Amino acid sequence: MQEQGTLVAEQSMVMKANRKRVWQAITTAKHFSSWFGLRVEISRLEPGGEFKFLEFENNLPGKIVTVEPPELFEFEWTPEAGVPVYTLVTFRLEEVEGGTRVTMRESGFEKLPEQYRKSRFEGNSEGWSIQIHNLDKYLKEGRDIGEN
Amino acid sequence: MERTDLVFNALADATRRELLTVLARTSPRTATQLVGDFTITRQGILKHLDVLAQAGLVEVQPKGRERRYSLSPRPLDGVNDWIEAINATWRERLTRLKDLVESDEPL
Repeated sequence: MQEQGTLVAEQSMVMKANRKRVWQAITTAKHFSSWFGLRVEISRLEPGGEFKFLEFENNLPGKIVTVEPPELFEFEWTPEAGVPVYTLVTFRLEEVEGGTRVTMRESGFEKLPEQYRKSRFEGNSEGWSIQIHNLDKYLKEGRDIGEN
Repeated sequence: MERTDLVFNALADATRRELLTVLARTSPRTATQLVGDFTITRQGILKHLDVLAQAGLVEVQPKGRERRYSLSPRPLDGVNDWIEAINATWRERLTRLKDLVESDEPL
């Protein structure tokens, strides 16, 4: 499904709530807006449905890609109005003991134009885990070999 | 273009990412050796290697009549920093999602 070596951000967290409840929180506009930090509007909850971010001067277009309750929700969004490049955001919900494991993955960053990468980077300098899927693994091996 | 832009530009192509992956497994290799792993021509491979070299992602050493290419992953550190920042934003969002679903609020 995923192209090898694509640049991804990935975060996973266990939440003490059932999948249905988490599903509601990520697929209804009102709840999504409250935790995501930007107001969204959802035209209809199905593939091809609009998933629009309203906070900016120009609305940021987004499109729902996958709706498989209560397991998988995917949408595409663009970093800036007028930038014809999209990243794919995937939410996977798994039942685990005591709740739900929520795994978020945003992929396709290598396609973004320069000015967006810069603004996004300057806005956040805090560091967390690093994920460059597949490629990262091989590159680390390569780096180890290179340094020995 | 700045170095980071060259790196992103280099990574934006699936064949070049595949080239890096192959070189990460076995380096150094010549273009002739690499051709066997790909469906494109030797000339195509050389063009891609040139883009990777300009971004500093591969090093080139002359060896007899051929050049040998090795992986040079250091420029990826800038990309890593950038992805880290995006991960930080997502972690904050997921923490707020967790607070919401673990609260008493009806959903």
